[in-house]
Amino acid sequence: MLADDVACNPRNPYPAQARRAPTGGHRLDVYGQNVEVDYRGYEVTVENFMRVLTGRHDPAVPRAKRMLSDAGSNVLVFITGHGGNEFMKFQDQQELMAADVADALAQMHQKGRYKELLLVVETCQAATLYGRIKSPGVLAMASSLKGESSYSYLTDQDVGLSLVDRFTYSTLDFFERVDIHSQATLQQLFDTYSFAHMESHFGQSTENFERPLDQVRVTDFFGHVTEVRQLRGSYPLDGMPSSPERGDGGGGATAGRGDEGQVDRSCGWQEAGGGGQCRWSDDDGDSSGGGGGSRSSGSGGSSGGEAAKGRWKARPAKRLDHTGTLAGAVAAPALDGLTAGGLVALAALVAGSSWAWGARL
Amino acid sequence: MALAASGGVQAQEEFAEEVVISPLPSGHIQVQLQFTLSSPSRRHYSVLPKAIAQLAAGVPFEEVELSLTQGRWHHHAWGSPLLPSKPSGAELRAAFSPSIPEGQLPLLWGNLSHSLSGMFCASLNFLARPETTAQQAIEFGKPSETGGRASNSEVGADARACAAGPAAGAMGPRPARLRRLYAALPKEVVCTENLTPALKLLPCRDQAGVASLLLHRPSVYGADYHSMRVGILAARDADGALLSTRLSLGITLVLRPPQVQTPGAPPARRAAPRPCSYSSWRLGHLLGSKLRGACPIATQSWLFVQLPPQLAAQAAVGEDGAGQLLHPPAWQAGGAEVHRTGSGSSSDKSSDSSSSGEQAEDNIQQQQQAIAGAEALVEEARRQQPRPEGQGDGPAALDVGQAWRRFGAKGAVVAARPELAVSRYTTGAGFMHGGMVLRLATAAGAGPAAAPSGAGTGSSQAGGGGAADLSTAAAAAAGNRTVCVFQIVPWYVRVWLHTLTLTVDGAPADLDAALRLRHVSPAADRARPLVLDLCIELPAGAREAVLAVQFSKAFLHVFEWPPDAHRGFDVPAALVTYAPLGADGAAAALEWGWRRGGDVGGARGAPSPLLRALSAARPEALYSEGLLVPLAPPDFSMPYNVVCLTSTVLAVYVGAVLNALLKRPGAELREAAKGGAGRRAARLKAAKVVVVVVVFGGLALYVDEELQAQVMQALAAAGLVEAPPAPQH
Repeated sequence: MLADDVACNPRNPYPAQARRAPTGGHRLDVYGQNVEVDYRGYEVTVENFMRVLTGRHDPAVPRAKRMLSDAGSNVLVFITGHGGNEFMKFQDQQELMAADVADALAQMHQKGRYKELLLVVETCQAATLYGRIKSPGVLAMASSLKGESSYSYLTDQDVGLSLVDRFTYSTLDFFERVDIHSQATLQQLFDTYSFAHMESHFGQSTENFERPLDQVRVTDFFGHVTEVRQLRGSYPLDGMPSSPERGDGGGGATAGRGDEGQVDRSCGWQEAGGGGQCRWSDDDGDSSGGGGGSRSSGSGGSSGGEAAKGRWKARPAKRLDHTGTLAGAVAAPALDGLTAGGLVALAALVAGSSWAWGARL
Repeated sequence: MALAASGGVQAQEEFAEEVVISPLPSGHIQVQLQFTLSSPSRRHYSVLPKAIAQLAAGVPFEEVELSLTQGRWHHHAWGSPLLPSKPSGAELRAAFSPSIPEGQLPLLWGNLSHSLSGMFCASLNFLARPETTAQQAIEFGKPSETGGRASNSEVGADARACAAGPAAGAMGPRPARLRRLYAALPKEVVCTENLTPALKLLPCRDQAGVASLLLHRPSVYGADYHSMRVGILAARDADGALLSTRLSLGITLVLRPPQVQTPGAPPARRAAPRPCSYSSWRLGHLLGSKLRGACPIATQSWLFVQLPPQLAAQAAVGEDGAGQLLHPPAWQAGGAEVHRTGSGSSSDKSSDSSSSGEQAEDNIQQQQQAIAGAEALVEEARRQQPRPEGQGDGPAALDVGQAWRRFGAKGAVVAARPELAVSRYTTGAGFMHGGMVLRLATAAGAGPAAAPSGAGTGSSQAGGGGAADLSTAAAAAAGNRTVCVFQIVPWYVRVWLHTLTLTVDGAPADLDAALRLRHVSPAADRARPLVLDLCIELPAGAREAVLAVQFSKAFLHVFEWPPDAHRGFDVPAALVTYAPLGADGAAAALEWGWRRGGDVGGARGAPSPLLRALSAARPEALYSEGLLVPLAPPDFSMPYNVVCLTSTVLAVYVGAVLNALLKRPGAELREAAKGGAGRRAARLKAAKVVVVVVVFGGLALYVDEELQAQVMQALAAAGLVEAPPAPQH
């Protein structure tokens, strides 16, 4: 999710680039050549953010805009922007509250949409945003504690802006030394944050997280390593988990010799929400191709395209095979009913007791 | 018939990649890349992306065209584009067969835009809303092709004309045969994230072939004009079953050639080139990346370099004696120069000596040398590609360039400018008195080719004085001209249609008399936009026509405002379509020729899909500027203030009323002690309390299943399962 067109804004003198530092060896283009953005501009709303997390979309939303995670996925959520005590601003118009985040994560846990989740918040008073989370398996880190500001860093005179935040700078500095085979742990990452550089205190919340941090590799969350293994013989496709295909799909990657390494950018981390590790895709390799307007009822009456259309219709059903998703789908309406019923009961009690109290007086 | 026009059922999959590099009159360089992937319908595809095939199978469209554009094509400075230019932002158009019922279109259109939005990382799902979508009821074409498909579409849905030749009657507006839907998103930004998924549709991505020219994204997105268009054409049989699918991906760039001193400068920082001159260029400098061979999967790989017309004619006559193909401008297949990386080249030398000499003669000589030394790049690339050791050191990068000994083939640049110049602007002020003006002027009125940009917008006076000097004689000889104006206006810009006036050459004209064909669909609040599709016949010799209309603005709900409310609201660009006038009044198509080594040919029989599309007769389609209409934004903290104030007032009111109603200090108790009426009143009040509690408690139980379960559990535990449901306190 990117609310601003940072890279291609006409006021950016370096088109299609977002640099980390104005000069020297830090002049790294963090926007990348092969970036993909699923939600941008006016689409970046609190509602869409919550929908991506909880997986409750309009049926027409294509697969590329959904987070197809399951109970085996490690999810990374990175939020940066303007924030305050228990809120974070979207587009200067809406606010994401700490309670919203906590509720969404609770629902994700109920639906089995993650195994472990790392929430990175980089706003002012960032630590307040995760204060209400009680869902197991959630690890949260923040650039500043309550009452502190998060500061920016390295102003570029050509751009006229600060290029990077101090927290991001530290983080990037660490990850520049990490490759996909690294053994570095989150504890090592956390140790690099210093008040001397950031001018704010690093915050972390491990109370919902079971594993000790010095045993959690950073590659568990950052960087998606897809190993392609060749199997001998045929592979039964009716079984649920993962025929070994690349998860990024996108149509015809057949002849992409000299590909961009193994890191799958389309499933990597995304700024301001969303992102996360893709699960193994058991589809036919077009998971991000996003042909999936499943609202289509295929009414053209074509006969030649029957095979393709069958697959078209069958795809959402296939997703329900995952028990986690199914349970979540059932749990969601019940939760709604609970909320509504609770509200009505509360209102009834208040009204009734006030009347009764007034009568007795 | 449909099949015949679309080339019949193909036997196999094809992938053609092409690039055309042509100098523009302003000194800019236009680079047009075109990728055409086509395949018959089958279960497994080796070239065509499956996502596209599934989309074509799932949504029964005939044609789809999506364009994502940044910048605006400056017709007066750049001449006509190779393919029709596109308005800034995103534009999506689709055509459905008339056999599809009208009621299904919104669903299909919604599915289509959502799918494309996921596929190309753009916010196209905003186009799915009915208040942005318009139906195009008038299309421009030849009457003879009503039976067949309206598109030969080698390139996409835009090439709407038939390639059969210039015969068969004049091109003109007629009711659309297909159900055409159109929507535009003027503010959509275009950036790397749109190119990434598009390149993933290609077999070689950007690692080899023509697409490797796009490797350096800063050059691509630093271009003065950048347009990516995706056309999908589905050939279906009478039952609607998919027969074949064709995907064409075109990318148009207008680049500033780097100066000699700063070849590596980012495009945005390069100085504007000198107009009326041909700039020297080299692909590696221009785009920041060289051509990495040909894609091994491609069935055709072409590189074309456009030659200046007079040069092409002379060269062709001089060498081959085959001058018949060379109407201006002509094509040269094969590079002007082919270089390996690192090797010194003659064109370097010539650019060093750029200060010398005569203009035309030197140019010609230089170019002739280049031609003589050039073989077809395709052959070159093909020969290099499969060499066994090529895997180790990567494909050899090809660098192509054109070098001129002297800037300025002065006067030689024949700008194939469109005959009409279109500009649009708003007038009026305030909430109620807005106005919109669309001005059409014959191109001669817009000044010479070297005129600075903004000639159209600058002369915003509708009086027509700015368009005085023009070739009246030519226009008069051409006869009447039918011009179609297609315009979508969002519903919150309330156009007063009765104020629509036509002014020709400064004098009011009768609009009704001038109308040839019209389709007007009025706006409905939050439901659909105003669609104006007017085909006007302008009298021969008219220098300027002005369509003016007044509008007022609507109030929006507070939640309908975008986050950047003070920016204003975009009105999509107006589309002006007309048939270019030939000598006989029929549609004139440019003749393109091409040659490769000794091979010379016309475009009609050319194997290249792009060349065939270019030489198809098509109407001229010009987009006006987009408009930005500011609406008076409210104080957005107002609802919050109102909520706070209202809540406070309500709380005070409710409290006071409850107090007045319920509080009987002491009196009732004394009455109750005395018995009689007082006791009855107290009993009534207690009964009221019980009723309220029972009603609301029952409601809560009815709504909340979980509470039911809890209550039943508690009752069962107390052994009172048969007890009436009463809320627990």
